[in-house]
Amino acid sequence: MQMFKWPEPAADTRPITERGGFTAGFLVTLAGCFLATLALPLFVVHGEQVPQFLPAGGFALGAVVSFGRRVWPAIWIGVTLGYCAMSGADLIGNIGTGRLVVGLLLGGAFTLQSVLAHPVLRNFLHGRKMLLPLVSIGLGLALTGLLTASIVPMVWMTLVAMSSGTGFLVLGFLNTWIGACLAGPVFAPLTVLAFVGTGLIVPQEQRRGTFVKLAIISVVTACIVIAITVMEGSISDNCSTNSSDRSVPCKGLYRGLSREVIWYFFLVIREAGLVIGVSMVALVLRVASMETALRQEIEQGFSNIAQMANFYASIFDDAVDGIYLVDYTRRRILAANKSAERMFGYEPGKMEGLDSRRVVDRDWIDMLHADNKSFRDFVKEKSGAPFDWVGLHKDGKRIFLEASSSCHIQNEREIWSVVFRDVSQRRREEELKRQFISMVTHELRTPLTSINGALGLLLSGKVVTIPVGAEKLLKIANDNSRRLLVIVNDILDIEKIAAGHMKVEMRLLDVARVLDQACAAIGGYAAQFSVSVKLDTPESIPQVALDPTRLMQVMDNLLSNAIKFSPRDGEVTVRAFVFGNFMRISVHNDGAGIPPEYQASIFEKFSQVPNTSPRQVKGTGLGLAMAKAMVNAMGGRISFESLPDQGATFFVDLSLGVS
Amino acid sequence: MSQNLRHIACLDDEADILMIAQLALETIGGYQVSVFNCVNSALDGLAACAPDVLLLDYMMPDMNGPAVLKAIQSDAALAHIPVIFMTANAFPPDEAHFLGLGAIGVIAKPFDPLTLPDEVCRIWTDWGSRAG
Repeated sequence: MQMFKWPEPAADTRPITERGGFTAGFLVTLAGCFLATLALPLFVVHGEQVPQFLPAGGFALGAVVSFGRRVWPAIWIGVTLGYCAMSGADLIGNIGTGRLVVGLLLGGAFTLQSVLAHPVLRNFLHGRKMLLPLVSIGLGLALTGLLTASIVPMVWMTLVAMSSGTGFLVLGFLNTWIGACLAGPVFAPLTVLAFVGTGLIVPQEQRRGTFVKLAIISVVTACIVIAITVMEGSISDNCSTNSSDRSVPCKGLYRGLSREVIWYFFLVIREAGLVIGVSMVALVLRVASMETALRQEIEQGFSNIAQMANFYASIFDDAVDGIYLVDYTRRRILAANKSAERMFGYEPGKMEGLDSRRVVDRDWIDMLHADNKSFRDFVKEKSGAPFDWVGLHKDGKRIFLEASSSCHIQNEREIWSVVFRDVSQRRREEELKRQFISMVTHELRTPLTSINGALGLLLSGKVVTIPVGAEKLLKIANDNSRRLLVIVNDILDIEKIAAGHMKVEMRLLDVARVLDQACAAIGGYAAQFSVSVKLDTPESIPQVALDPTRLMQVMDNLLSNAIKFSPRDGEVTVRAFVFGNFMRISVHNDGAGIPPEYQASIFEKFSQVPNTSPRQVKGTGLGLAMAKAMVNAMGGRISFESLPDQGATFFVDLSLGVS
Repeated sequence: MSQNLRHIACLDDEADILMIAQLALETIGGYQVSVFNCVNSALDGLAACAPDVLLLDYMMPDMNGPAVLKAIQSDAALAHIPVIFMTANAFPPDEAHFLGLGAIGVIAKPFDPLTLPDEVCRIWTDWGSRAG
């Protein structure tokens, strides 16, 4: 059998949506970028270069906000550093190259961010927090370097070669176009697309949707930026190209506006477009990676649930005891395990949907019905406690079962589980034992009848005259043969009780009369021990429901015990009085009391307290067990009190039937 | 049944018990006793000795008590003889069961030989007064 493995705890059990501060960082960054770009007109010292530090500040702010949230801060730090570096490069180098690189860097960084969100890398970095910034910056720079080294020079050289004959204006236009348009919104998605293509970021099934989204963003952003750039180019036509000469008014479309105002207006739009484009790309990737992670978590969850379900199913299926689930409202068995199917003789799966009455013996059910009970009532009544029932095998054989049941509510339906084991074998053994004991005792009683009869007749002196000296020996033989008979009878009685064959016939009677008879009957025995029996009952006493034969047996046991354990010339006192809702009968003697170590087991079978008196009278150890069983059968209870050297008092409480 | 109990017949496969019963009933009770230790001899001899009552062992190897009782009841010459069962069964059925079979009473084995005559007499007298 395959060993069940508890599912390993995930490295980070939180859902991915709650894991990083990405959203907060992203929004703050976005806001920062916009604020920075909107503030562009305030910074005119070096044209458009200086304001590029402001988006960098925005990124930095995002990093701060999301700091301490594992993966994301490292990426934001990487992006910020890269952006700063590129902005610095932009200051000293060509504006277009800088923009291109910035775009590439952003694209790379966002890609990296998505890559980092990939479980493989995430799990690797989990617990290696120190590595996070290094890995993300390193990967970001490596990626940027790679892309820059491969794409940028190639494109740039091609453009230079193309523009060699067309003049600076065209070059400038293309320069700006490439920088703003390609580098930002186009190259970043393209870079990401390469990764999407590898299947590293976005799972196979999501790839198409992600492609489409990225392509749309790229095209729309590119169109906006191209349009703006084209309009920007027209500034050159309509306004003075000399940026320092701000007094020269513009012509045509821009008539009446200063060149700076127009320039910064386009600048704002363009920067905003760039930021929006890149951000949208990031957002799309973010959603894609979230989907991936969620999907993985869901799959993992399902797998865990499936594993648990298999585990519980195997407990249910492989249990040695039979188990079935039943809906008593619909009288249908919902499921049964292998043991249950085996016990009832059904093929695997054939018990499902079976009428729940098909597995219960008809006679047994009729017996329940005689009590106005259905099997369902019976099971409900027994809920939690073990019970016996008789099942029905598919081939009609009766099966004796020991069962327990419990109720489970599912979808507002009561489903009962019944767990049971086949005790037919045990029942057969018990029956055999009972028959054996019955047979043995019968066989013993027959010769004992002869021996007792013969000895009794001899001792009566009515048949023959007993020779002098023989009487003592005959008496010994007679006493012991009677004792043997008592033992055999006791064993029989105990067996009767165990087999539930003891019947009580309750009648409303005067306890005092029964006690009077009991005391009279034991008189001879008491005289042998020089013990007197005193009966103390009140004048008027309520009648009690009792079985006189059984009560006589109980009293015989209690009295003979009390006499046996009494000192010579002692007194045994029998009382009857009303005690709460009970009629209490007490039997007290002045013996040595019951030793504490015997008190707990005094009512158990074959429990005997050693008799320290010199008379050495032995019993069978069954008397009190029988007394208890008989008192219980009469619906009463039996108890005792005993202190060392203060004798013992046994109580029999019979219900007065008043509540 | 105005006359007194005088003649008792016993049927038991245990010779010893039969002898004890005979001794007790004869010497202590002072009754006339006829004993049979097998069913066939009883069925043959009962009519001739015409006892007032038959003590019948409930469990015997060749034919059990109820079957013997049935045989007696179906024999016109014997049908009038009242029967008391004697049983050593460890789990005896209720007295009502025996009465239902047609017996007039039941005595449990082992019996006390000293009280056996009185018990038989009591059952017989009770039956007599019941029968009117």
